[in-house]
Amino acid sequence: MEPIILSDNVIDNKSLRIGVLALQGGFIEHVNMIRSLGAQCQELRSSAQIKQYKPHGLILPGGESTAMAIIASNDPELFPLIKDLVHKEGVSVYGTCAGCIMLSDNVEKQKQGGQTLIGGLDLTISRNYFGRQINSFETVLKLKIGGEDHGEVVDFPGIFIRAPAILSVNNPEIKILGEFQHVKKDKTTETIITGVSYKNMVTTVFHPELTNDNRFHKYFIDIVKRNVK
Amino acid sequence: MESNQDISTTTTTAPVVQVSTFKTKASLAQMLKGGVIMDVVTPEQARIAEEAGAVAVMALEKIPADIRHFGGVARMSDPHMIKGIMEAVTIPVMAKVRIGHFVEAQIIQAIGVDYIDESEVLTIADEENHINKNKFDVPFVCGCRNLGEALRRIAEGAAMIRTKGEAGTGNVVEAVRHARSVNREIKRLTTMDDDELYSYAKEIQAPLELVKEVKRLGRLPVVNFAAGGVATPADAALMMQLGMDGVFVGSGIFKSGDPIKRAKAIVQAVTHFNDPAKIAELSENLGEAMVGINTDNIKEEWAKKEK
Repeated sequence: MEPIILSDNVIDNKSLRIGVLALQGGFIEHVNMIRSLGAQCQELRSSAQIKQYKPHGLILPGGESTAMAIIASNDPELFPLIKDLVHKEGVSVYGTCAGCIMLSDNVEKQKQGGQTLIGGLDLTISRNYFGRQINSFETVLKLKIGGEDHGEVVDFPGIFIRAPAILSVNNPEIKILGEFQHVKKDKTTETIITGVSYKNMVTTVFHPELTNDNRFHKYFIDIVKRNVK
Repeated sequence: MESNQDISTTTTTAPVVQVSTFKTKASLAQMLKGGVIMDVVTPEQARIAEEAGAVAVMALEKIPADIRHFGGVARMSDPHMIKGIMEAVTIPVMAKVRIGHFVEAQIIQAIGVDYIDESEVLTIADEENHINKNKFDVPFVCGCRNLGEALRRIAEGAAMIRTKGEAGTGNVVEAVRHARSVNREIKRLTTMDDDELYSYAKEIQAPLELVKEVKRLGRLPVVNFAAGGVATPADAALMMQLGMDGVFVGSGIFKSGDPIKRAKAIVQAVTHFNDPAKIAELSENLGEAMVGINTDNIKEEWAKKEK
């Protein structure tokens, strides 16, 4: 990967290339968010396009994770390439909803016969955790993504669409970005993890790209910059 | 690296949670973009659709080609049959209700379907009124032939739009006509002076506020899929190149020679709609397409049943 460090040692957003995996789902919303921050962004549909574009960061969007995995299987190099880029080349990755499922090591409630995953985050995640579409919801979340060092907690709009839930983080080095108090049908409350960050990997089970707020994408760009080799 | 213990993001009181907002309804459609929604009549067909990469299935008793063939009154499907399909797959399940039949919609909502299609494919129940979809928690998709029709449906609460096309024919001509009409009217609207919008809204019989919003966005405020006559990977890619967000395939799959192969090929064609070499490869050896009906020879034009 060619270096993009400028003379004053500050990485300019304009020189960053972010690719959005555009097999299926809400990819254009991510493209618009990234472009609103001044970085370059392109939809990528194949391993050949990814190799040509050489992204510094990659977004796995929301959509149907089963459909995405099946579409991807037609391009046998695609998932191995993404694994290599993320786990060996230090390319940063952000997975939203279905993308978060694809980056998780342990997935509950898969379709019959299971589904292909990219993995890398030792999380336990459960698909369609809150129920069917009628249980999709909006709320306001607390997220630890604010300030220079991302140590400040900010309010952020949380849109959950047939969302999965992160039930546990099985590696203590994974940073939890936010939690949500979910009131279950029996009125008891449980704590659900809404997003995590680990090295060059970021995930959320909610959809910042469906809001007018680009602060989460700014946070991801910060992670990309920190991991550019 | 921080440990998990020192995070202070947890609030002690549960936050306000809103369900079934227009945002949550329209957002699910956004997540279906670039995907194929397939008509299925059994749990087995639903599993085939899921394995082929469908983003959702439309559960119904008879596919449109058979509704045309057998005639009679076409109604909502048996809830038991729909529930069987909901149990068979993890992807969203949609179901059709008759235009204006709000009790069929209440029933479909009660069994927990993810999206309702108020559909001209079924027999009309109310010739003057559509369902007031704003009153429902489940989101609705509705068909349209032009911008005015699309905006009337959105005003009634539709969170997703599709072309009407002419379902059950295997002939894409009407879907193309409807997609082009909506595109042409949006293009014309975006070049209009603000002072012209009042009379234009009246002309196309659409609410002024929605007309203004379309002018501002340069597109419909909700996702717009192609439907009604898509039978081949080339048809699907054609609709995507015409700017549709995704594709419904009804009779085209399970009325063809090799449904599994055709379903997979149409899914791939929607992702790679701008890659002719890829679509050529996908179109090879698919077996027979559904026979199809020339739309000049059909007894009843469903698309013209309602305004």
